[in-house]
Amino acid sequence: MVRGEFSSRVRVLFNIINKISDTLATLTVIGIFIVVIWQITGRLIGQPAPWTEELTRYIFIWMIFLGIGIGFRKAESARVTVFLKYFPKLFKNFSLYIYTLGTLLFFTYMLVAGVGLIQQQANMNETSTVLSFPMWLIGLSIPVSAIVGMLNLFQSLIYDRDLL
Amino acid sequence: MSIFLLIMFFVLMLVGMPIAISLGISVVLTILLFTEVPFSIVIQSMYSSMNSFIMVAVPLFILAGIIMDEGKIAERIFAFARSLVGWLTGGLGHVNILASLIFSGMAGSSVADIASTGRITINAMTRNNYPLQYAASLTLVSSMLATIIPPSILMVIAASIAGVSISAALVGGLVPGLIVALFLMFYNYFYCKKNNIGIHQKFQVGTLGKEFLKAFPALMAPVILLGGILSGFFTPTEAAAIAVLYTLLISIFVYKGLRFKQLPSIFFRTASLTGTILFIAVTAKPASWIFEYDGLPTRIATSISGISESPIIILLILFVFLIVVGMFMDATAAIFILVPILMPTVLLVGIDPVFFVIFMVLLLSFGLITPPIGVCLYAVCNITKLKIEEVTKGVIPLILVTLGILLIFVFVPQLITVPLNWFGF
Amino acid sequence: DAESGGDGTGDSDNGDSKVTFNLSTPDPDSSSITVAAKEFAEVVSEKSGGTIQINVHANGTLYGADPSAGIRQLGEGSIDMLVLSTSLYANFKPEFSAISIPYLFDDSDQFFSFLNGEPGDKLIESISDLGIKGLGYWTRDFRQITNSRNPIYEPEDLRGLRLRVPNNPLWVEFFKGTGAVTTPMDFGEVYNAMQLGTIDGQENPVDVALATKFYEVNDYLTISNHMADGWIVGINDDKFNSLSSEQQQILLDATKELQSWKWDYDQGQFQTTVDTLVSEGMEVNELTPEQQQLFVEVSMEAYPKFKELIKNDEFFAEVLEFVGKSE
Ligand code: NA
Ligand code: NA
Repeated sequence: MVRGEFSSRVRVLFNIINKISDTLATLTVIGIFIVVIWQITGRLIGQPAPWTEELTRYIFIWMIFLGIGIGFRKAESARVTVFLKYFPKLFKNFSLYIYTLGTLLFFTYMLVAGVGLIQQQANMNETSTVLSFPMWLIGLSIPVSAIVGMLNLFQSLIYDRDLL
Repeated sequence: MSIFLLIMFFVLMLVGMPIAISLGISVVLTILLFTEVPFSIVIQSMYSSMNSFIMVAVPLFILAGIIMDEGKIAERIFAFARSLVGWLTGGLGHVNILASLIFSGMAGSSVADIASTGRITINAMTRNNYPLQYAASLTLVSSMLATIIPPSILMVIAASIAGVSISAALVGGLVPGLIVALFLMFYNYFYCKKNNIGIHQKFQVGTLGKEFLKAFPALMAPVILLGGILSGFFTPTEAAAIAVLYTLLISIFVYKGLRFKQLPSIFFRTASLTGTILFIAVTAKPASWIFEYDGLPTRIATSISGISESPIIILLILFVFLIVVGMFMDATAAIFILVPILMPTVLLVGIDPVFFVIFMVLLLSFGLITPPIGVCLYAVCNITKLKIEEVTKGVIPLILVTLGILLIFVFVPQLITVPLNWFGF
Repeated sequence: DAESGGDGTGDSDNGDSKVTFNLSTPDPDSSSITVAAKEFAEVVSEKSGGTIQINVHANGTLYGADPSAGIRQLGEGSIDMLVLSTSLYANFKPEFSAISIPYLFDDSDQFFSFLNGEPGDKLIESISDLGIKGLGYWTRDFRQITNSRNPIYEPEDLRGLRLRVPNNPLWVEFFKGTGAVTTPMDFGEVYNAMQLGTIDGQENPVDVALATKFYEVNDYLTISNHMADGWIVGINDDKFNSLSSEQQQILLDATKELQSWKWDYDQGQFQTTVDTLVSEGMEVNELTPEQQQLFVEVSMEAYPKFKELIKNDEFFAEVLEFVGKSE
């Protein structure tokens, strides 16, 4: 009973986090599309905006790193499983541990090194060329990606274990 | 240390670790074990790997592909192709190839082709007494076209990493794609004639006219895209955004297959899919940093060019190598890792870099359809519910034929370079 | 099997430990900057009796050709040495934009005295808090305009011309003043964009026009000398401090020595390059002092914008005073 309540709360929490990350990811795609169309139109009518190229790249970086994290919810990240079925059953369980451990390990690296990167960007006062905003806002996508990735990995372990 | 990295990568990959993670872990370990370099280099390199305007074409082409799929554009293309070549011997087989060919002119990925025109043609073929295995094989092999014919995600990526003109590489895929399609149609004709499969269907001018008109907006997409690039209205990257705009407009307003409320989920899937696909590229970037630091490209260039000075011999070696790599490795990862490694060799023996990029994408697109690791193969299994072994068995003759076609480009590279000259590249 | 990352690997006669540094340049092997970097490596090796070994990596391969990543990596030590344009440091230190203010310098003498004088010193000292020791400046050829539409004699000739410029307000603001339609574009797409007519022209030092065969798609070259740019020879701070003071002095001296070496080299290359471009069919015109004055005025119109960009009014005033100009 208590346990059930706890797990439903966890589910609610996951749903909220998913909603946020998914909405952000959706917005990045819309953003890229609009800005690139703006760039083409601007040049064709002789009123080019200098910020389009830069902004596209930075939204793109956010999109990629959000997408990387989200891709682990349903274990969509490309992997080679054809050979696994030729291995003994014991090894298959072992392989699930390796999958989980390896992925966690790498996301931990991304989180730690990513925080290091944004600290460096903040300390160095790195700003974007045209729009002049602080570049750690873009570097931030990496630690966020790592956290989203870990949370989604846990979700896949809890709710979609058959996919692994 | 490059060798350590590669072995580590393959071991982790074969035990079922995600490819990108396998690469990432191998890279971090290599840095820690073999160099004094701060290991934050990996994150620096991952971060700047996606700081590229050109790569933005990837999500935009993926988005256009999803819109076409949801927007019932594939149905129109199929109906038109059927009215055009359905009356030939092996009719629906030709329809399968032609539909892929037309779809290729708008879509940048082979998996997208299988999911849309592939699904429709397989259904139609089995209803008309074509063996399921044959329908699956033909769908699989013809899906290569989407990667060869412009626009093409892999071509954009390869050209961007090789530092050659993206427009040239894209346009250069046109003729090889048409050649592959033509040979596949020959094969289909003789196969169906010999085995007496397929129902004879009459040719009707009226139907053709009607279907042509209905398909016309869709058929205009390749014209707008290539025409726009070649006449300088937009760059290849920008063309991807135009593709999205155009397919969005015709799916919503002309074909009415898409509703506005579907859009957010389509945009979301684009982000998730792009991140998933390009994760491999993100971790391949620090890997190529290590190769450069280790001096691997130069060593390979020296040893390969030491074998022979003849470009044909070198191309043959590369042919075998890339076919094997394509069979065992994800195409995006292969491009990210191999282009920087092989480029010095290519330049040293005097092979035209644009030709090489097209050649490489041709060969890697072949890897998409072959076992054991081919995304298109999995996609076809997914649609037909056939086992990998079953599809593989059926597709072997067609694969051999395709291999023969690809070999032609080693001996007659002019088939790629001469048309490029016509287009002014 | 790894190249050492600047750690001591042995002792020489005079007691200095032997070090190997990697040095990254952004351009290909044949480019003047990579040629100069290789010459620099030789001079350093000679002066140090082989105790300082420098391996040059061209094409920005060690930092994924992303200049800001290059600066960050230099700061944290995953690159030992880096030669990079001064304008690219502006993302970290906006004051660097001052060097590339169009027509800021009357001539190359003034440019040199700026770099080697007080303003230059201030700038190069400012990067020490990025973890980078600036060994000194080299110069880069002034930038020139190529296009496919018409020769350029006065600002009016640029009106409506679709010109690819780096994604930087210095360029955008200046060319906006001439009426050109500036468009930012990945350099990799520029050749084809000019070939297919997406854009009409670009601006860069002339060696770029030769190396990337822009002469095939642009008929007109205008020697406008509109912008100066320097190179900073940078070394990771910790790597520099780990050297003996003799070794440090060798690096500083060699950098200085290469400054005039590179200038002479570039002057020789410039004439050869222009001659080659002419033989490839380009029509060349050089702005007369009177014509140039019209462009100087366009630039001065944009001084308020440049001042904003530099984000340091005091320094901006100092720079203007140094070159004898006013707002
Ligand atoms: Na295509
Ligand atoms: Na097909």
